Amino acid sequence: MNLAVVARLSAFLVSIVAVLMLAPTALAGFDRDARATTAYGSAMLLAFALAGALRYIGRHATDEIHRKDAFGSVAFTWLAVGLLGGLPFVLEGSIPDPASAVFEAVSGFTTTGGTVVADVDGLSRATNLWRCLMHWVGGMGIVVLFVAVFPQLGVGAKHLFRSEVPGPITSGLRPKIRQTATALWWIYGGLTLVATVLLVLAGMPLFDSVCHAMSTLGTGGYSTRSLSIGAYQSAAIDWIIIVFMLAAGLNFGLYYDLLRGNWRNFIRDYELRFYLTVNIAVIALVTVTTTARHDGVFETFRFASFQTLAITTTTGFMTEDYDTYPHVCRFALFLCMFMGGCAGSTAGGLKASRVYILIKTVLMELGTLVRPKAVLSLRVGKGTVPPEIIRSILTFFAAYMLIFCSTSFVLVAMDLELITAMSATVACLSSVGPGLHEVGPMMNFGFIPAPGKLLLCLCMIAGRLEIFALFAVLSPECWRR
Amino acid sequence: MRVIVLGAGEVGRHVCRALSDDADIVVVDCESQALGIAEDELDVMTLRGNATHRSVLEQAETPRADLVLALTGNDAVNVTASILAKTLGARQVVARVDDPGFYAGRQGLERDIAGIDACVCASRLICAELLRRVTSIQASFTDAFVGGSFQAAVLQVTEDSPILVRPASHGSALLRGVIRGATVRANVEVAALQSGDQVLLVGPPEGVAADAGLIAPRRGSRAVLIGGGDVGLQMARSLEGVVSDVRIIEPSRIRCEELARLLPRATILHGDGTNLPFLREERIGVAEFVLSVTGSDEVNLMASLLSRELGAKHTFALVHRPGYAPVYEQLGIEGTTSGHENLANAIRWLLPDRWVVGEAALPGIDGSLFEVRVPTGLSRAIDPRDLPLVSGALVLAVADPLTSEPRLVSAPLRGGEHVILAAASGSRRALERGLARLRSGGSSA
Repeated sequence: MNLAVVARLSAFLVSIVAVLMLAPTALAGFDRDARATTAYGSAMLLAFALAGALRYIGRHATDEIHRKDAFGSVAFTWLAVGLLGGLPFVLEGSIPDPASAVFEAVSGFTTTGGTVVADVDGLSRATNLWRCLMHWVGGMGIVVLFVAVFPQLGVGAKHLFRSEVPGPITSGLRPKIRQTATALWWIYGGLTLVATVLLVLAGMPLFDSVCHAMSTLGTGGYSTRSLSIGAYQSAAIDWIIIVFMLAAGLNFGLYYDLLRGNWRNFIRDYELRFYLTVNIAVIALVTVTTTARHDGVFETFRFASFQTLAITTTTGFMTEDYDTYPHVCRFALFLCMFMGGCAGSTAGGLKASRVYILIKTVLMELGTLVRPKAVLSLRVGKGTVPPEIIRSILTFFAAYMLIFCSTSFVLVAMDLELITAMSATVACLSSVGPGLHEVGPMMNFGFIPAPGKLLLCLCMIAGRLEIFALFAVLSPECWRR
Repeated sequence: MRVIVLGAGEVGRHVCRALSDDADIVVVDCESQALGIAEDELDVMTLRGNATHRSVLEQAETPRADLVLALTGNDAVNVTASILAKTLGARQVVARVDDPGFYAGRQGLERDIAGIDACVCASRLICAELLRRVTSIQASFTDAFVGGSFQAAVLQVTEDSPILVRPASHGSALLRGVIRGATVRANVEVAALQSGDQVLLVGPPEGVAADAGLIAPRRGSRAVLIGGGDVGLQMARSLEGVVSDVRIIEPSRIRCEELARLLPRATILHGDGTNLPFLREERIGVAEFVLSVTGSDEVNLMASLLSRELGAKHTFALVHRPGYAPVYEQLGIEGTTSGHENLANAIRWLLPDRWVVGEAALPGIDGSLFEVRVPTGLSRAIDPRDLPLVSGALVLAVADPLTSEPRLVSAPLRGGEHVILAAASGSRRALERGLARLRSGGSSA
């Protein structure tokens, strides 16, 4: 890894975060909230200073960006923005504990949405905007934004792009990676705008609409209200959020196909079909088992759809406390936390395509047990999956489970209850947000000891960067020049 | 500009690298390993599939392509895929066909064959380039223009230059400019040449080679080719009219016998071009030119170094990996040429919607030679003086790229013709802008 190159790239990435801080600073100024203005203004200046220092360190850097440099700068940036993003919370006093503030910021940028704040209604508008803005930028990715905005990165842009974009296969939408990144941001921005307008039309206040639209499309989960979307008690708002949560959980490349009139690609996508099938099955299960809680099947269906999609898209909003559902539903939702959304979406988790290929690999292996001489290929959709992709998916799954087990173990060792520890880990690793029991939708992560919070922060970043980008940086090979 | 490259091998990747600044590229190959390398090295989109399958070409959006380049290692695949791409509506299609027997001429680039806009042959391009180097050995600068059918050369006038004793009309029909001091002047502006001047010859390669002899004295010579493959064979044929003695060293006995049958005037030697006693025995040191053109970079490098060590005057080597070229030159090899690079240059020359299609810096002065394409779609022929060129530009030659015939510099220009001119270095963008304006003005008219 060339540290000068990493510093130069990180300088640009950190400065993007600094520019974003202008929004809450301006809002705080507009609201005449002196404390918030000072907090966000100071954090912004500090971010610019850090960017300047990194730029100075990287002043002799070459233009060439290798894979190791891409991993290094992406991992460094995600760690740095966690610290910078949490700074205004401490300065403002909304989250005085530094570990909790970092947790809140990392949870924001990684679109996890797990909060340490018990009274969200008591937060300033600037803080609520910043929390949701972190989701929005983190959803599509700071690095993807950087690639879209900065020209002349060449093939290095591809390494950067791949280090951040989720999914086993990150094929481009357009010939140049910069064009792909730009197209993704246009689709993402367009969907956010449409969601905002619809939420306003459905009766949600403008500020809340903007925040919730950003939070929804980023599959984050931060709300401006303590009771999340449930606070509005509006079927129209629920349905709008349901549709956009689902939209954010699908592969954004499919929207590009749709925009170009390739609707066949959209409806024939194997991952989309599998993802929808899983969702329909879980929604049916929740609807059937929770009918008694609501007035009529349609209302039950609405709540079931909302909660299921909030989990499978890893958004983490709530309209009711799913932790009080029957055990079978809780467990189904717990399993859905592992899967997450589709590859190429803003959702986290293992991704539907990986789960689908894992299931098919197991079935194929069973087939070879019965007929050892049979030569089978793994087919998905119209094509086959090459062995190297299967191997990378199996490795990813193993690494994911290893992190899940070891983090849960450490949390249990910190005296957390078993379900709480396991669900907190998977909720962070898959960027869902709320888990079960003591970290359930009505609770928060505030009670977890500081080392536990920092460990979960690492889980969130590892999950957001698809594990390997972060852990590659920890390998000694990455640091060799 | 949207370009589809069929074939992600060494050649395909090199061409992608050369075009990546100008074009949005989709690379198609049926080998996932080759595509993986392309994915890692280049900012391009990849598509796995057979280039001769209609569905694959449709998936690559061939009908929208400005240029399709069929560059796989298989001639039949390239020709089939090119015809298919043209049928699907690609604007321009170029096929790599390596079999020299496919071509009528020796330039390595031929237009409009079986509906394919251009076919290129790497070995022919290499030979044309090496021949140009050999025939212009006295020149301080030489470069090819108009797809290799034109050549420019700069020669130093010295006290013993034959041209000084024949000042009338400067002795050469291809003498188009004189570099005196730091400026390029039209030959008609210079009353008499003097020692220290540099003359600029522009015209068909054989004409330039012949006229170069009027300016710099020529020596009788021997050329030794190390490697008797396709390039060696074609090079030997090309050199037979240039030097008095052509020898080929080839390690394969069977190939030697074949070469002996095909080249009755050349001396074929069965041996290893990197074997020092053998090279000594064959007195390689007295050769004027040694050209190492085997299929191996290592052999070419070693053979060139040994020949130079033994006293060969000029050593040239074929470089298969273009990145190695600077290393060869650092080690003292006089000239290198690369098949990939020649192919990329030929393709760059064919790119549509570009008006400045060639550029080469002149040595020692702030000036370059540019090759510009007169925009098509003009309502009428235009006077060369009305071309929107930069100030101080000097038109040196005009050619029709389809016929490769030189035309009178003063005759009206038609759309599609190529003009070779000298102008200040860094004039490229101004020339592009001017010619683009001319096109839009002409189209609206």
